[in-house]
Amino acid sequence: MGVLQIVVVIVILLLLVKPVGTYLYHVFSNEPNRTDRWFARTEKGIYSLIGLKKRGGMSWKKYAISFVLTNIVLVAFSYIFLRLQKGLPLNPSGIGNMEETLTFNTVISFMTNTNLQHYSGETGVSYFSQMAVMTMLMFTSAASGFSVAVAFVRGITGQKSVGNFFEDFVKAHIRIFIPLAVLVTLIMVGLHVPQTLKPTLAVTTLDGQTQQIAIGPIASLESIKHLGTNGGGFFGANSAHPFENPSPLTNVLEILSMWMLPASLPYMYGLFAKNKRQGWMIFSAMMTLFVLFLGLNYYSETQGNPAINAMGIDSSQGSMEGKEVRFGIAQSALFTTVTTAATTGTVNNMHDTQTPLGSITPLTLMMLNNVFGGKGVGLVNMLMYAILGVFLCGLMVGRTPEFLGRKIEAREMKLIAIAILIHPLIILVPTAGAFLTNLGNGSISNPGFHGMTQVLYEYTSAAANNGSGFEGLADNTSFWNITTGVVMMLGRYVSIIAMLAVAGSMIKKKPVPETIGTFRTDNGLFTGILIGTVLIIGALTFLPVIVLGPIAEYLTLR
Amino acid sequence: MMDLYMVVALAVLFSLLYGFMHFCADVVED
Repeated sequence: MGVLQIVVVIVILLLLVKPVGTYLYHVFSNEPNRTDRWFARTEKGIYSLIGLKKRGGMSWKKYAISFVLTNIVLVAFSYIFLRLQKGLPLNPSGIGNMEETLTFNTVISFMTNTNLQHYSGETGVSYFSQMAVMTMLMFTSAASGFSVAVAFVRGITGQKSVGNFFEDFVKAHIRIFIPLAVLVTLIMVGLHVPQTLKPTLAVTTLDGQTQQIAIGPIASLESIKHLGTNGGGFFGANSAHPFENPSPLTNVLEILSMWMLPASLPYMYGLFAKNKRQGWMIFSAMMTLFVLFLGLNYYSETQGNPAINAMGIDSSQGSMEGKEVRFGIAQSALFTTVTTAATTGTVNNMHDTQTPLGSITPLTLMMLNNVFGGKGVGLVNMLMYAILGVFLCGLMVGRTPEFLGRKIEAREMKLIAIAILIHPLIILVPTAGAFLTNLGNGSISNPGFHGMTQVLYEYTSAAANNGSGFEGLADNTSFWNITTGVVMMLGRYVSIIAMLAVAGSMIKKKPVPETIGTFRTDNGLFTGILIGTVLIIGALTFLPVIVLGPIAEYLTLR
Repeated sequence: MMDLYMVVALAVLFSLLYGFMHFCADVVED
């Protein structure tokens, strides 16, 4: 029954990939299409409001600067709002201003699409902040990532230019995220997710005590939280909270909301490349890796905790510690795998209490950071590995490597090497650094191999812009707020800038005619090479630290 | 005072990214 639940969700996703991918292509191809009559007037109004009369193509550098400057402006407004929220409107519970280092962490977290939360939503932020900062950044960070992905695809598929950042940014909002968010919000409200501006409720419990029940504008945040692969919950318990995710039906809706757009991007890429097989090749590689790690998590969690099994306690339901009974193992395992594959970071069960082998799945998916991936960046990262795979094959046969008819040269490989190596660097160095100080060690709630995993997970989640956590770690301190803030910044922007530079380099190249000796990148053989490249690079960089964490913990529990 | 430190930290991080962008441009232009 559990496997059937998982299969049904995957089949629904497969049915969505082609229509959604085609729609995304029509949105960003800048060719006249049927969606213009619904959205073009609104977009023209916004363009005239922001003074964007000429929407010509940008150079990769101008595109990157526009992207970063837009993010800086949004960070500045968000910082001010969070520091002054006590005196701003829509604060019926009288929540105070956010502390400085926590504000630093939070604005970076939401701007980078990470949504790592070192605060608890019901007590740490006002309704105004939830809407004007958190929800606003959930839209803008997702649209930013989407724009970058489209620019990169335009670059490597030889379009006229990488596009215009502001036009892409507006289109992503008007034609994708806002309509979908309104639709999902209305469905969520219909499925009993609260949407109100009323203050916290005070209710009398059965034994006569008074209890505060936090409510608020939850459904509107919940929709874009998943659609934008953001993941920051209205409540500290995130999607395990019954107001955020009340039933198995809302659980499936949330899974599909965060999975649908990243899974459709490869198909859009195939349409841009004028070769759908290229898109399906990328999708197949992503789905193969996804099913592999989903299987590991599902199997491990159904086997239960070996230490508890040894006590003679019935483990027929599997390891239910930290899981919601209304979801069970199957929907918890699927949610965990999707939220870390699509780097959303929302959780419907506590990853800290998963079995040691089960916790390898979320950790590894964030370390690979290219199995569907967050809004746009997952596709960019997988294409980066595809170019690396072509380069390695070229070295083996002694031919100049080509990708989509363009030669891969030293300059592209330098930039790709930087983008690949920055990820392990900003995970492993801070993790080691945290163990050298009491500031890091003092936050571990479960010393030993599990404590090692707690710290590793925190920095991996920050670097992958995921945002989920092993919540046993006491992370709301200046040390964690600042170090994870820096890691989130570098994890987001360094690889994006490097890959935009690759797009800018590729777009200037003349296409090379295909010959009988051209290495094909749209068949099963290359899919296998791509999966192998991802796993080998991942194992070379991260396997030792996974052995020190979850695998060592598993061996102590046996 | 702590606000000033945080704002300076943000400014430094974005400045580093700007420098990195120029480095990438140099790589692209060989």
